[in-house]
Amino acid sequence: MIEDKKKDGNKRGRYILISLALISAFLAAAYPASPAAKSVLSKKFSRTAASAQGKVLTIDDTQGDLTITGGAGDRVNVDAYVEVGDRDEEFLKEFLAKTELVLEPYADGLRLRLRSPWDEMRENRSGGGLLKRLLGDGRFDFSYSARLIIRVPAGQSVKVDNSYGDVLIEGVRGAHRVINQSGTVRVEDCGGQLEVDNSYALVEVSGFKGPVDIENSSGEVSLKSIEGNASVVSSYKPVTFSTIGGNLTVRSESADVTGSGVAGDCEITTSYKGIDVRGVKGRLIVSGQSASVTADDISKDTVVESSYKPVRVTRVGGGVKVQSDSAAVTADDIGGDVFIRSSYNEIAVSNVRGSVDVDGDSALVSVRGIQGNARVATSYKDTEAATIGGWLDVRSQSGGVKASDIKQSVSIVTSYNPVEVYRVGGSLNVDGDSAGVLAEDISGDVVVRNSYKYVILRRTSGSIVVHGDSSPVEVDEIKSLPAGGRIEILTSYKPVTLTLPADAEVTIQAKSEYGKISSDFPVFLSGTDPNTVSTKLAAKLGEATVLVRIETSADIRITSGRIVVPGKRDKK
Amino acid sequence: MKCSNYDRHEKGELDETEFVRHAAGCTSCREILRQDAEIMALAKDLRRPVQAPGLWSRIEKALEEEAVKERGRAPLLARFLRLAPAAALILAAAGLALYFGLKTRLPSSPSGILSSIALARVEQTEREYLEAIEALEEQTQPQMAGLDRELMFLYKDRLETVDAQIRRCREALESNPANAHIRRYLMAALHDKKETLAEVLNLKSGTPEGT
Amino acid sequence: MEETQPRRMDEEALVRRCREGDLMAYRSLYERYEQPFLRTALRLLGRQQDAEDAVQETFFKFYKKVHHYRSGSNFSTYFFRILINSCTDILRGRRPETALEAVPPALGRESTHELRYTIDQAIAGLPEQMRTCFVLFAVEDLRQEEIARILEISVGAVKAHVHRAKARLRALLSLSREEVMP
Repeated sequence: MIEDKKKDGNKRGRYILISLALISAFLAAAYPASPAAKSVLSKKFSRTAASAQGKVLTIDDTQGDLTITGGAGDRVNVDAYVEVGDRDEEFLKEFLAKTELVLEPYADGLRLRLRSPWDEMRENRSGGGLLKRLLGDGRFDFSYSARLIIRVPAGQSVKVDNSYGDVLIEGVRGAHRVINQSGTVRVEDCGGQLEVDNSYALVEVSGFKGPVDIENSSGEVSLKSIEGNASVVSSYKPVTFSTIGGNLTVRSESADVTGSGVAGDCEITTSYKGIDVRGVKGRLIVSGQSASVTADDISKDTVVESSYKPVRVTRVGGGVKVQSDSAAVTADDIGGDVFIRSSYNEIAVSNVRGSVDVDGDSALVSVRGIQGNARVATSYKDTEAATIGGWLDVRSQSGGVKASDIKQSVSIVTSYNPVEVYRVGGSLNVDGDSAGVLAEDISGDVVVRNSYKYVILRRTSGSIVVHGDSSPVEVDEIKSLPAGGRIEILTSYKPVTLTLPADAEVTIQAKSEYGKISSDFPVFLSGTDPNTVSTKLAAKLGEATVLVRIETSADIRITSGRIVVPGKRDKK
Repeated sequence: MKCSNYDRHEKGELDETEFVRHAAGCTSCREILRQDAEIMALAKDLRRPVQAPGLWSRIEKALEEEAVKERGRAPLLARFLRLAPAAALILAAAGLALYFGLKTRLPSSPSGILSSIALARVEQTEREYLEAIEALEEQTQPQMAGLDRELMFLYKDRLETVDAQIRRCREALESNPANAHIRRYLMAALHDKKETLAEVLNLKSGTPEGT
Repeated sequence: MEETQPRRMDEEALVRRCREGDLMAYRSLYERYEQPFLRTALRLLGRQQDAEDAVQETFFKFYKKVHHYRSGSNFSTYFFRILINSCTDILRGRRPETALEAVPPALGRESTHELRYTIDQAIAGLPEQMRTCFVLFAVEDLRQEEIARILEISVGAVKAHVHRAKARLRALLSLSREEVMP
C-alpha cells in the first residue's frame, strides 16, 4: 500500500514537473525575448500659476512631447503625463513618488521643469539606493517617457529647450525660441517672432504672423503662410515654402528647395539637388552647385549660379544673370537684360525685352525674340538668332551661325561651319575662315571676309565688299545700289558671278589672272600685262555713281539682272 | 465628318499599322490622332510633383497609434489560440499569462514606452540594419575613394552627421532603452545611413550627376 | 508603373518587413508611392486635403490588412486598388451637389498654361470611372491590363472609358482653343 502510494506520489510529482516545464515553455514562447515581464506605470502631474500676456514661459531641459496652446486668460496650466517602465513595479512607484512638476517664477515670467530621479541618473550613475538598484544586475531596463500639455495666455512668449520629443505650439503670440533635437517642431497659427533650432526631424511652421528663423540640421523644413521675413539654415532634407510675406533666405546643403509665393526678395543656396521657386515679388538669387534650378514668375532681377544641372528661368520682370558650368540654360519671357555664361549644354533664350549677352563654351546657343541687342560668344556648336530688335554680334569658333530678322546690324566671326543670314535691317559684317556665307535681304552694307567656301549674296541694298581666299562668290538680285557706294569682290582661284540690275549706273573694273571675263554689259579691254595672262576689263554705265571692282584668278561673269521695280513683279 | 475607322481602331478591330496607314490619307483621322497626341502630352505634363509636407508624419503617427491600440488588445489571446491544441496545461498557463498581461497593459493614451516584445522586435530590426550597413560599407569604400573630391566630401559629411545622430540616440538609450521616440529616431538614422550608402553605391562614374 | 523583376522582389521584402511592424518599411513604400498616389488622388478628388486623406487612409488600410496581401501577386495593383477604394469612399461621403474642382494650375510654361488648366478642368468634369481610367492611363502611364486589375473590370471596359474620355477631351479642347486663341 505504502509502495503504491509512493508510486502514485512519484507519478504526481512527475506530472507536476512536466506541467511546470510546459508552463515555462509556454511563457518563453509568449515572451520570447525577455526573461521576465516589464511593468509600465504612468502618473499625471498638474500645475497652474498666474501669468500675464507678454510674460515668458521657459520650459527647461525636458525630454518628451510638448504641446503648448495659447488661449484667453492669464494663467499657465500644465498637465504632465509621465510613463515609466521597469521589471520592478515597487521601484517604479518610488520613482514616480519622487517625480515633481515644477512651475516657478523665473526671469520675466515662469519656468517649467519636470524633476525626477532620472535627471540624476542621466548625469551621474553612482550613489543613491535608487541608482544602485538599477545598476545592480548590470542590465538597465528602466525606461521613461513624458508628455506635457501646456496652456498659456495667448500673448505669452515661449522658450523651450527639449530633446527626443515632438513640440507643438499653437495660437501663441510672442518672442518664441525653441531648441529641440530628434523630434518634430510644429508651430501653427502663432505670431510675434520665432527662432527654432532643431535637428534630425521636421520643423513645420504655418500661419505665423512675424519673422521666422529656422536652423534644422538634417531635418526637413516646411514654411507656410509666414507674415514676415523667413530664414532657414538646414541640410540634407527638403525645404518647402509657400506664401512668405517678407524676404526669404534659405541656406541648405544637398537638399531640395521648393516653394512659391515670396513677397520680398528670395535667396536660396543648396547643392546637388533641385531648386524650384515660383512667384517671387522681389529679387531672386540662387546658388546651387550641381543643382537643377527652376525659377518662374519673378518680378525683379534673377541671379543664378550653378553647375551641371539644367537651369530654367521664365517670366522674370527684371534682368537675368546665369553663371553656370556645363548646364543647359533656358531663359524665356524676361523683362530686362539677360546675361548667361555656361558651357557644353544648350543655351536657349527667348522673348527678352532687354538685351542679351551669352557666353557659351562649346554650347549650342539659340536666341529668339530679343527686343534689344544680342551678343553671343561660343565655340564648336551652332548659334541661332532670330527676331532681334537691336544689333547682333556673334563670336564663334568652329560653330555654324544662322541669323534671321535682325533689325539693326549683324557682325559674325566664326570658322569652318556655314553662316546664313536673312533679313537684316542694318549692315552685315562676316569674318569666316573656311566658312560658307549665305546672306539674303540685307538693307545696309555687306562686308564678308572668308576663305575656301562660297559667298552668296542676294537682295542687298548697300555697298558690298567681299574679300575671299579661294572662295567662289555669287551676288544676285541686288535691290539697290546707293550712290557713292561700291561693290568690291576680291578672291582667288574661284569664279565670281555678279548680277547687276539692268539699269545699274556703275563703273566696272574686272581683273582675272587666268580666267575669262564675260559681261552682258558693254565693256572694253582696259589693259593687259605682257608679263602675265591676266585680263582687265572696264565699263562705265550711266552716271557711274557706284564703283564695281572684281578680282580673281578664275572666271568672272557679270550679268544683267531684272529691272527691279519695288512692289511690282520683276521683269527681265 | 468623323471617319468610322477611328472607332474601329479604338475597339481593336483595326490594328495600329493599318490605322496609321489609313490616317496618312484621311484628314479626319489624322486630325483626331494629332489631337489625341496633344491630349496625351498635356496629360503627361500633369505629372508634376505634388507637395504634401507633413503627410508622412501624420501617416506614421496614425500607424503608431494603431500599433499601440493593438498591443493593448489582449495580445496574449492570440498566443493562447495558437497554442490551443494543448489542453488543461494551456488553460493554466493562459491564466498566468493573463495575470502578467494585466500587469503590462498600457495606459489608454498612446504609450511612449515599448513593451518587451516590441522592444525585442525593434532591436532585431536594428541588428538587421546594422548588418546591411556593414555590408554596404564594405562595398562603398572603393566607390568613395573613386569619387569626385567634392562629392566625396559631401557624402563623408553626410555619413558623419548620421553617425553622430546614431551615437546620440544610443547614448540616450543607455539610460532609456525602451523609449519609443528615441528608438524611432535611431531607426530613422540607421535607415538614413543605409540609404546614403546605397546612394553612393549607385552613383555613376563617381562624378556629379549630369556630367 | 511598369513592375520590373528586381522592383517586385524588393517590394516583397518590404511587405514582409511591414508584416513585422517595421515602420521604416512603410516609410520606404511611402517614398515610392507618394507621388503617383497623391497625383491620382488629387485628380480624382480635386482637393489637396482630400487627396492627402486618401493617401493616409490607404496606408492605414494597408497596415490593418497587411496579412491579407498574398506574396507573389502584383503588389502595385493591390496597393493602387486600396487607394482607388479610399478615394471612392471620400467621394461617396461628399454631398451630391459638391462639384469636383479642377486642380489649380501650377505655374508653368506660359505657352501651355491655359491648355493645362483647361485639360485639368476637363478631366475633373469626366464621370468618376472614366476619370479614374483616364488618369491612371494617361497621367500615371499604367497599362490598361493593370488598370483593369486595379478596378476589377474588364480590359475592354478600360479601353472604352479611355476612348470616350479622349473624345470628350478633344471636344472640350477644341472649344477652349477658340476662346483662348481667337
